[in-house]
Amino acid sequence: MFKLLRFCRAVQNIMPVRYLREKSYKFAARRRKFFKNNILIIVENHVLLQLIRVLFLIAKSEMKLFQNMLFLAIVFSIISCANPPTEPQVSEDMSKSNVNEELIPADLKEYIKTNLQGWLLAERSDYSKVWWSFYDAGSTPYAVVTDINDDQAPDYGMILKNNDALRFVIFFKKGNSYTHWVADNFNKSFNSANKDLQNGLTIEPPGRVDVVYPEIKSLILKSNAISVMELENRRCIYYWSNGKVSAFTTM
Amino acid sequence: MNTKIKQSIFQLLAAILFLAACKESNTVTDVDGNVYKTVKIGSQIWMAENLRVTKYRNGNPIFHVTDTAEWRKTQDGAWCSYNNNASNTKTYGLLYNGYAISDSRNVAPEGWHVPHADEITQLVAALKGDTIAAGKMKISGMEVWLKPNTGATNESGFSALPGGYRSGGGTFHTLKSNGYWWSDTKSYEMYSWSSRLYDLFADIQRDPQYLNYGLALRCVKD
Repeated sequence: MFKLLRFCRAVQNIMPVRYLREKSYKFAARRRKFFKNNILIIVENHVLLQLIRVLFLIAKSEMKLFQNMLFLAIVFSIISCANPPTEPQVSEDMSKSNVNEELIPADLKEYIKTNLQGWLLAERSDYSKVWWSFYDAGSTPYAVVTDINDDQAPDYGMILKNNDALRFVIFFKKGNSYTHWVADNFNKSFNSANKDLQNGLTIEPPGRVDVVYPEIKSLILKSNAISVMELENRRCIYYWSNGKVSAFTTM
Repeated sequence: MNTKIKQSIFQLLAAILFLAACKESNTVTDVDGNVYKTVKIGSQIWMAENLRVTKYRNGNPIFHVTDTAEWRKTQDGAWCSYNNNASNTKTYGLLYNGYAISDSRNVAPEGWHVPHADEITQLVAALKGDTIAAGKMKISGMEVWLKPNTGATNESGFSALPGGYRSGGGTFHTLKSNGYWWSDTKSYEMYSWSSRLYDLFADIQRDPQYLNYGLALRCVKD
């Protein structure tokens, strides 16, 4: 291992490598990352590297400078060929995207303001302490985003409030604008002064849902759907069927 | 030893080393000639792209079924593109029914196999648990996954894509929001709205009707 590390240092310190590094920042970065992060891979390729080392010594003692450079180009081609980068190209800004902060686009907020005057999105602070005993404090129970109608565009489920009145609304992205659908079986209210909201939203993936109350029945969900929860209990599933939203009551 | 001989030996060894190193490149080729990137996760080596082969390992064709009624009733191995649209194949690979997955002629390339259910468990363990595994496997950003693409970093290099699925009834669903893959006996799946890896959707042993479902496939090196 120490021999190997010494070899790595020797390779890093010789002139042609510095020359290559100055000429190609990308290549140098990849090589540094290789030495820094892939010692285990180096060990796995120990035999291969020992052979390289022998060739390196021959090259150092016997070959002229331009031949050394050619040799080193081959060596580094081998290294880069044997260990192509498998790390994903992570977009820094996107990887840090967070549902809580970026869930609702500005144009949708504008749509709500224009088309549902007086109605506002519920807030975390509207929820009761009992609610937060069931759910993660970082969650946004008043809004979810998924594609429920299989048009490959995001649809938004939201709990809106107007003073003490509550509504469940689904917004569908249509081109550059939105349409919306209001659940007619969810006319609930809460006490805004007491902050006792106890209804939130979750997403239901495709699958089979069986319930025994208020009657024994099943639902096969083919696409994603949205459930309205009442504390820990699922109150109703809203899903896409035959070109419209349908409701499957579960309590 | 004179210098010319030494030079010759050196050049020969360099050429051999170069070729040997390149042979170890991180790709696998299927019987159709499609080349797939691979990635090491824990002690396993996985394909980093969804399979898109149209033949079994021995060269026999896997049936291409576009017709809804035929998809519903077939008991032969079959594949299709999402929405029967070939342009989806390049990005999302092909969807295979359960008969193709379990066919003894083997859908996986030589030296590779359909993952066993316990290999999914190993994969999850290597990614430190099912609650965060999908986040480490999903391609980040919202070009291929719909928002919010919760937790996606693709830290593992698995590069999971939301290719959706074809139901037993022959209809297509959840492209861009959900991804479904086969293991030998069940599915494992990921959602745009979760960083969790699930395996609750299709279980052939529990319910053989899922043999007619079309899901994507990633193979594991033997």
